[in-house]
Amino acid sequence: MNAKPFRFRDAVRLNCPTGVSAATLREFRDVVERVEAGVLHHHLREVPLRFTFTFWDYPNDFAIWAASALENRALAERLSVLDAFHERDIEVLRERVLDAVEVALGEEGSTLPVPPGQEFHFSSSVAVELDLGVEANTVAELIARLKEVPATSLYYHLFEGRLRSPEGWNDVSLWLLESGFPSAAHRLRDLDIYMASLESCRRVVIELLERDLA
Amino acid sequence: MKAALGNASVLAIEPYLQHVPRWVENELQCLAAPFRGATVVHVNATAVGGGVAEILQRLVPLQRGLGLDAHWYALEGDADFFRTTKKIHNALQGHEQTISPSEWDHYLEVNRSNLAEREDVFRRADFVIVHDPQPAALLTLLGRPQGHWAWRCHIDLSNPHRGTWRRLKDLVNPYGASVFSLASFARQLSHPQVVIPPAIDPLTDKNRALDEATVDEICRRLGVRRDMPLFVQVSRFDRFKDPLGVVAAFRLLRRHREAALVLAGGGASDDPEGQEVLADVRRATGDDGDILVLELPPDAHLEINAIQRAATVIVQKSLREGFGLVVTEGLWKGKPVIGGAVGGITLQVRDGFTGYLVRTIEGCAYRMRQCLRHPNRAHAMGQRGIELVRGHYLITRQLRDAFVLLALLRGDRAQSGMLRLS
Repeated sequence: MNAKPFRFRDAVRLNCPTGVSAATLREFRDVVERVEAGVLHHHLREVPLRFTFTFWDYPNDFAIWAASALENRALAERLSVLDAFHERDIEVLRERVLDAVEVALGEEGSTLPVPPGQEFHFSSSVAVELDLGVEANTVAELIARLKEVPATSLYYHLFEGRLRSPEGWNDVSLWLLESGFPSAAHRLRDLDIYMASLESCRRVVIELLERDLA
Repeated sequence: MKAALGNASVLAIEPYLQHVPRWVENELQCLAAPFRGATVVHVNATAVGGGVAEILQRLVPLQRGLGLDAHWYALEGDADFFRTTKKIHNALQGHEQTISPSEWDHYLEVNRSNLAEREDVFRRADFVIVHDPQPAALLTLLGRPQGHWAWRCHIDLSNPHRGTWRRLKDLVNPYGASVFSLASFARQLSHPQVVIPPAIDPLTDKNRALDEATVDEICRRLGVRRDMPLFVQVSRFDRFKDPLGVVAAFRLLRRHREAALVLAGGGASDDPEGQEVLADVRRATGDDGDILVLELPPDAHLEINAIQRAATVIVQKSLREGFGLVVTEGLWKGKPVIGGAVGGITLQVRDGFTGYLVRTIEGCAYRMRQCLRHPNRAHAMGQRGIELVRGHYLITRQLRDAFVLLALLRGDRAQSGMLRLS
């Protein structure tokens, strides 16, 4: 048993618009080329925070915009498989976005502007990190607390936690590993939770832990 | 400039826990701790009427309840001032307006005289939040204050009249941050911009649960028909809210279905155009017995609550919209909402999920008919609306975001994108 309890944390975030927008795919590419890394992080990785109990067809803002405003489903599909939580290097993700956009720019009709009001608005975010004052000493307590904490705390530990660990462990799987539950830790690390709402992610993680450890 | 709220007005978080999870209280206490005792001053144009006043009536007492020394002042101005600020408001929302040099001078003069009455308060406050364009000149006129200032813009700035925005931008740039209701409203400014969507308070007369007998009694008193499907649009009589478009859509619907329509509008002291629009609406509706036009006083919160609860479907067919708190209110009452695809309505009404977004009178009529044809689907959308509001648009979330803003203004930045409270 791990001597160190699992402490739940959260980050309260505000969206920070840059005031820069794109009405065509070419403008979009030009902004993506030069925009700060934090802007890419926000649009590629923070979508689950906005829709905690629903999930859009596409997992990031770029793909959602490609499908809904540009009506370019092929581009949306290419932008959907960027693996923003598996690839930790944001510059690699920037290149993948630009590659997909270049392909689309070579296609007919790609220079048309989106309808007014559907421009892409580039944003980053700021956050205040909080200790929620909630901790778990045992797996049973961990499961109980996972049922109670804000969905955004799940994002902090399961989604962003993965980016903090060089080996791609999320915070909960790392704690399980250090607590002597390697098989559950590996299963949780490898679980594909990035295609669901945070509330559905909560259900899946709790089910896995209850099945493996209860 | 008058204090808009008595010093004794304080609200606790505890009663809100019947609507939000218990962790919300802990989160708010953690966020509030570094700011206990700090003076926070809000300034806006009116103490009564309109969404901003409604928010401040609750937000300021809640901030006090969490230990802040929070205050709220409302500008005092003459009819000319409010006529000019209405023109500024319309211009910023994209309508061509000419604001003469003398009107701008008067705008500045009213700001100056209001500032003179409270200069000491503004000079010493730790944080000042200035709401909307009406008092935006206060900071420039004051010079260098001790505290941190933010400009809170509640309107849609996505396509402003350029000349008017240029003038206002000069007044806004000296602030430490700007706050918008949607990312698309933001402009390129010389300071950080953040998005804080507004929110509703589930405990106020406008939003609290009402029993059926109360709803019935209020509807009877107001003459609201409940013997057929009821469509309701509640909003100021303002051209941007398109009440005439709603009447036209309703008449298209009635070619197919019997139904009733209520257009209920409250006035606000900073909106002199309202009476003209109301007269146009009355002319358009004539003696149609299925359409009820209600001019309600600014404090008719319980009446609005009852009308919204009596509705089959809420309509908000705006052509321009800031956030559209009236949509939030409708969703919170479990009603599907047919809304114009503009501004904050697009954030709240997710097509086919919590209601329908429409762009035309015909589209509005079609969705009205569809809601009546598929009542189970309409009911499910209403239920999802409640959860959407609970998760994102209750005042406890807005209160939480306000603390992040204070941390940002104070410069508590520790590392890229992350603020440390101290």
